[in-house]
Amino acid sequence: MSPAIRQQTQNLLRILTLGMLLLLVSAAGGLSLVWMRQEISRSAASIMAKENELAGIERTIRNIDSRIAAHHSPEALKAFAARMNLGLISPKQAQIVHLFPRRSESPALPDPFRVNQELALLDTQPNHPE
Amino acid sequence: MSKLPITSRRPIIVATVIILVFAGVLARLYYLHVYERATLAAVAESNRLAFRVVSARRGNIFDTRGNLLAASHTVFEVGVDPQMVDRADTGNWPALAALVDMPIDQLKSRMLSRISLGDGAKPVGISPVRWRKLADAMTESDYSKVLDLKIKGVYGNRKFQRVYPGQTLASHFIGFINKEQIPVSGIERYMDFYLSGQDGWRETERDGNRRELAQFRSREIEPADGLNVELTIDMVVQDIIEEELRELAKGFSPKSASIIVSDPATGFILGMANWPNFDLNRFWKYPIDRHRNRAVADLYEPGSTFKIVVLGGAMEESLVRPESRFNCDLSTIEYRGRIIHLPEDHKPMGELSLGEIVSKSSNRGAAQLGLLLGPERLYKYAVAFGFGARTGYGPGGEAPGILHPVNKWDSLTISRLPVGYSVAATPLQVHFAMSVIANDGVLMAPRMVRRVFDQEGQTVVPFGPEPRRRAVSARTARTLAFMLTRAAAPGGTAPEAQIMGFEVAGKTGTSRKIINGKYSRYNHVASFVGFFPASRPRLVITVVVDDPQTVGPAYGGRIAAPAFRNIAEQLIQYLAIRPSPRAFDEAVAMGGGDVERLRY
Repeated sequence: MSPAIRQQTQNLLRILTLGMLLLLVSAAGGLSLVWMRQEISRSAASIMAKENELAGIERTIRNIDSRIAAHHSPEALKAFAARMNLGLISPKQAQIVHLFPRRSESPALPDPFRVNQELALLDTQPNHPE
Repeated sequence: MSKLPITSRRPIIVATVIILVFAGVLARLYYLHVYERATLAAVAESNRLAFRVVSARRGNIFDTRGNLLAASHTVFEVGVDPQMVDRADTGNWPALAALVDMPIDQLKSRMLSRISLGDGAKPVGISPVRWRKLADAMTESDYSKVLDLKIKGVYGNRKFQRVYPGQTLASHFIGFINKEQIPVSGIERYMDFYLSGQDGWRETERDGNRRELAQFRSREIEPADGLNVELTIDMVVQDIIEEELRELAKGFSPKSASIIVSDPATGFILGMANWPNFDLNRFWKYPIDRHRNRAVADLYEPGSTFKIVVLGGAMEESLVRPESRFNCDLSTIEYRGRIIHLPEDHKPMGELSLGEIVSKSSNRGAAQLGLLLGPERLYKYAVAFGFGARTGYGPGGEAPGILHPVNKWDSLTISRLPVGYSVAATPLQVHFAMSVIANDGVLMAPRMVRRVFDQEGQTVVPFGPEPRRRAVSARTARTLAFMLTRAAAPGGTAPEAQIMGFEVAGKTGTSRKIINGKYSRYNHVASFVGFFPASRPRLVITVVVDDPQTVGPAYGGRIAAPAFRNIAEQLIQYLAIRPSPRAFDEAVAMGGGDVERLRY
């Protein structure tokens, strides 16, 4: 084989190899793109499903909150007490012992601690002049 | 070998047909891609793209202790696309009918009517129906049962529905949202700016089955849910007064009744209720008359409760002293050169001190005080106590009342206004006029909302007490408060308002109603406005009963004062209000025994 033909054959082989590589890279790139898009779709669908699930849980929590509120309404509690025959009555004035003067005298400004027995006793200590 | 006879025309015909077919295809392509391009592209685009509004959830309303009073639920509007209905699913239709609470025949008719012939509002013509509503507000659990039936063409759209767990509790105060999601009244309307939130939106694509393709979400604005509102009212206080209203309604069958409870120092309303009321969850089932918040919208002549104005004014102007005495047997009096007829008392009173004029509620005594004050000053103090102008009740629907300027007074007004006629006020105005006495002479604006807060509980907008003006001095207010304790004591007009261990200050009102243009002897508005403990007032309570049906006169002391006491006794326990030292000592002296335990 003459050097010229060999050179031509090598060039042809090189072109073919490069062409094959180009095709391979293109195909791999194309397939990767498809795979990537599929993954994006899958991830987006998965995120959407999670979002919907979360929204569903939030909705359930809100519904339960409303149902609890309905069951805690004074009317419902009174009906429950009557149904259970609990015989609940309000304490008489003479049964109430005022342990200490409330810091907040305004009934419009509720003091959540005033029903706490420990705090009530603490407040009667000498370092709490009130 | 013979040759088949091929005419020269055949290839030409075949070629022509092929060319024509291709030409047809090309023409169709041209038509679709060039001629109708814009229209078809828009159709394809609209089928593919989806612009969805994501509704913001309306904020919740809570009472002062965090109890939920109004919330938004997710419900489903369920319907059917008749074009997609498959008759193979008919076996599940009875179950669907039960879930949507619809007779099976009606359901069948809705499922199968695929075309619309139009109605009066639209031009008559045949059009395909893509949506027929089957249920308006289905719960999530019921909707999942509908989906389990797998009936083709049946689906639902999510939407919010307002729910009021307390039903009738504070119905006039909270207000409601109508079916078009428009706030109609009460706090719902007043606080709508904060409650409503901001809707979001999403631009995305969908597949042939109209399912969202999340990966193609191009633009997205998240909704901002509404803020929450914390009210000044207390659910338990509200329930106590509503229970008392029910008792009043049962006992006296009045036309209406209102009760208001507030803290005089801050103007915070702890409870406000009217009878008759309505269920907020089914507001449309009640006559619209029941939706009115009578405590702020209905006017009545306050009667003797107005005497606090004339007494306060006369003392503030140093025209009288507590020990000043007036002849309350006088039927006429000369005033500025003319004879004035004084209003009648229900019995001869003789000579009374200022304190006795209050405790016995002498009309003639109050009229003489009004004459002492004179029209200008009487009008000035009426305005100072809040009459003739709106109190500033935010949710609206408030009437300003009627208080004519002096130049429009007739000859009777100077003697009738001091006893609470020739003036009209709402129960809320009378309530806040009494709050002036309980709050050392300062008129406060009513406060309904304590704060607006976000989902994390952080306060966004606080609402504090708002003083409006000083009506009388603290000294005058305290003196008057002491006098008012005698009205709720034995010998006063409202001994039934008395509470063991507590000084109760208050004033009864019994005003005649105008029936057919004349004051009726048989129709009254009975009221009692009071506060306690008188020496350091914690609560002001107003009870107004319109036209109670009773044997004998419907005196405020007989009808409203017992209701005041019932409410006060329960609130003393609930709010842990301490007894008054002086009243306590008196109670010990009177009864001893058990009340010894009241000492602190």
